[in-house]
Amino acid sequence: MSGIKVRHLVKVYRVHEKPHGLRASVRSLFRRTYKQVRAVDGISFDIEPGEMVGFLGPNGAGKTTTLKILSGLIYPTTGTAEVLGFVPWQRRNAYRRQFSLLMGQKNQLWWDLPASESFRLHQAIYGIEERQFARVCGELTALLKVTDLVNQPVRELSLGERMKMELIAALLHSPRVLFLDEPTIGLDVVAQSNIRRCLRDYNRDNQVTIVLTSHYMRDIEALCDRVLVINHGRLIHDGPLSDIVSRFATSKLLTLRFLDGVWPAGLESFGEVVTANPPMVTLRVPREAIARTTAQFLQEFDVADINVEEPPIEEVIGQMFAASPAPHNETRDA
Amino acid sequence: MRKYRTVFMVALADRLVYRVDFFVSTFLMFIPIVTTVLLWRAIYSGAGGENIGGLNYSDMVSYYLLVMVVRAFGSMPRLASTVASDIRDGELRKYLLQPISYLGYQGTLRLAHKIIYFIMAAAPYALVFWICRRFLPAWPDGGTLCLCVVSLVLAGAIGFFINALIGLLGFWFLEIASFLHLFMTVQYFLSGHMFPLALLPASVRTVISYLPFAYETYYPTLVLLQRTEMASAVEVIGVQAVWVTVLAIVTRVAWSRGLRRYAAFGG
Amino acid sequence: MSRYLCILGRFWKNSLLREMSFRGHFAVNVFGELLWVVLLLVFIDVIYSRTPDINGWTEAEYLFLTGTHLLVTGLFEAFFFENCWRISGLVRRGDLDFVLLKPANTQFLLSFQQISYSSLANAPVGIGVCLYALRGDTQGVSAGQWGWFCVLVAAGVVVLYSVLFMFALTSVWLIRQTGVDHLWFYAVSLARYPAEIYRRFVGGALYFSLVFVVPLLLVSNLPANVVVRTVEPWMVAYLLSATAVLLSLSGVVLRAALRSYRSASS
Repeated sequence: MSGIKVRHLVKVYRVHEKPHGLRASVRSLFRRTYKQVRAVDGISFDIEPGEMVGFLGPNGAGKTTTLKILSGLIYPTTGTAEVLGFVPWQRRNAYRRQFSLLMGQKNQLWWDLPASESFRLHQAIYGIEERQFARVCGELTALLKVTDLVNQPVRELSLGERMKMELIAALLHSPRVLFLDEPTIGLDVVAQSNIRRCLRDYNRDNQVTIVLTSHYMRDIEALCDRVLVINHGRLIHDGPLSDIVSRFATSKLLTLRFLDGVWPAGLESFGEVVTANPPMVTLRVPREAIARTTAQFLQEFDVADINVEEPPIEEVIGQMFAASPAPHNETRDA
Repeated sequence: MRKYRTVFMVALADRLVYRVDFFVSTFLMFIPIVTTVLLWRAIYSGAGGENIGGLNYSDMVSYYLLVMVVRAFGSMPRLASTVASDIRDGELRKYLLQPISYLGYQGTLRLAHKIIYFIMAAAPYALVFWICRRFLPAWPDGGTLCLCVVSLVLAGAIGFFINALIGLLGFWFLEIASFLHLFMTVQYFLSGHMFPLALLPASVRTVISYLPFAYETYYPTLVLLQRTEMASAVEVIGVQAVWVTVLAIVTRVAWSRGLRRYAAFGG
Repeated sequence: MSRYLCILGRFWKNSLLREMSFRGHFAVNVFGELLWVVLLLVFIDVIYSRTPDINGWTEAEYLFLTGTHLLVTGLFEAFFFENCWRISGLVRRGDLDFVLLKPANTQFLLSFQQISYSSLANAPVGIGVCLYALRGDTQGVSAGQWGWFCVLVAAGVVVLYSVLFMFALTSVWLIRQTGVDHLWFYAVSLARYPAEIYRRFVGGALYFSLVFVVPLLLVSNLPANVVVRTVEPWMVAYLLSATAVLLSLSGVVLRAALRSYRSASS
């Protein structure tokens, strides 16, 4: 069994620099300036069959580019990749029959027709047998609770319903690998959790390898045992989501309740005050100082209760992205 | 006025980033003229060089060239389809929240596009007109020139309102592309773009002169041709002004009716 | 092969379903096309009331040319216009990705996805105009002439397809003012008149390039000539080979365009 194998993947592309102002616009009529952007900058990883892996990273980190390379849509500048034993960018039909790429911000269904007609088109393109088509279609529409919507023109569906139809279209040919680029973007909370549940069940029942990117931490938390964190085109973490906190959090949150409801002066000297609701106060204390600070509080003040917590994961990841240095990955040329 | 100025400047800069192919595309626009003129050359030589509909061969060449100038004012590419799709896709709501009139916004945008277009198209047009100078009428005197400009601007206004009206059909119909297509076919003929209306029988011409289309192209072109015996400039401008007023009122009514419908449907 | 027929059937069925879901518009479209034909006939009538012939073309011959032109352009518009037209949008929005993801020939998927049934109505109207031009005098036309007529009409459609398809693909490299719709309009304006009228213009340069570089002038003229006038056999051979060359060239350009698209996008 082969999953996904990526080695030293690099993608550099050229973008036209949008001119600002009238004069620059006129100049750009005759001469354009470009800059080189290293969208993916030497990424390596392996994904086992049946794994569900999340890509995490800020906008422009290179998540989508990586997915597009793995889907064979774009050529990498250097590096190698193998999915199911295929080199993606050779775009073999045998490969294209076995995976799907779902892009949350785009739709491929015929706008003015019921989704069922687009499904039929997929059936013809992928050469899906009638019996299998009926079975998969029935299962998926039931799983996503959209059985009565497939005969309505797509343009009349809500964003969430449309996304479910897109998901069905992507799964019709029973792909062995599924790439999902922001599958829940713009959806309401209920639709998000529906899609999440469907993906989890589908992964469990069909042993499909799933790689997804998302802005929503909840997606990743709920679905992925393993995350790849990418920033500025580089892989900065590969492992369980929970490891991120222990690895990257520089501080802990210390919550204290004082016996007499009065706080001692000079709390700021122990750490940054995050919240203060008498008689509770929460301090952010540097990780290496936590034991010492806790002991000091217990010794010097009348503390009724003390609680040490990890900071929320969004915050850690935010700090991580802010802290990881932007390498010199843009160069200009004319 | 200030907010419209910003819209204007942004549109201007936006337009400029289109590259050199602008020049190519402007020259390409003369292709239909070349083919039509060549056809007329063959027709005139077949007919033994006589007047056709009061126009000799030079007049005919000038007519089609000047129609290009008039159409440059009156044509509003993609205006109707933009208005209709803004209505259909709910984009309109964004504008309704802003303290800016939607059609005012579109009008300003068109004005910006037109001005930048004239600036950029001046050179290719001048070149084509210079090449064809032996066919063209004499350069008009100051007074005539003023009348020409007024007539052109009014042609532009008529074009704007007609196209905006077609776009507003989007309040009532999901897809207006087919209407637009039909309209363009009708307009091509009735405006005198296809051939000078003088070639038609007088009775047909009378009917057409009660419609706005001829005042968007045919009559302004005659004003530019300085064929006062075929159309008096002042009279043409007068009727154009009436049409602009009528169309502006109709557009206004259609807009408020449509908006009421829009609100009723919740967008 | 049977899978591709199956896909084609689906494409055409979906197009039909869509066009039928806007039945009123379908009617308006067909009406618009018919109106256009009427206006063309009015124009021809206006011309021929002033002159007995145009570069040797009588009114009947000119009418036949117009009918042939309607047939050729109607077939192109029905099968290929929208497919070529949507390419620049696919490129701009990045939706070309969806086409590339499918396990089927990309040129096939790009070229056949839509069919415009209302434009297809122009084909029988064109044939009608041709028959009207002959005024029932079809005895004078041999079966062989009709055979060549059909072959050359098909060749004309393929020439138009190849040229417009290649032009549409250039949107991968250029932001253009001139869209496929503009180019189509220009191509139609050039092709609809007797080719002879271009002979004496700019020393024949335009005529030469529109016959021997991009044979746009031949797409309507040649099939019409086969029936109502005479045609040199080598011209027929030339158009057929030019058709083959342009069609294979369109595949080459597609490969180059996809290479650029896939290198440039992020």
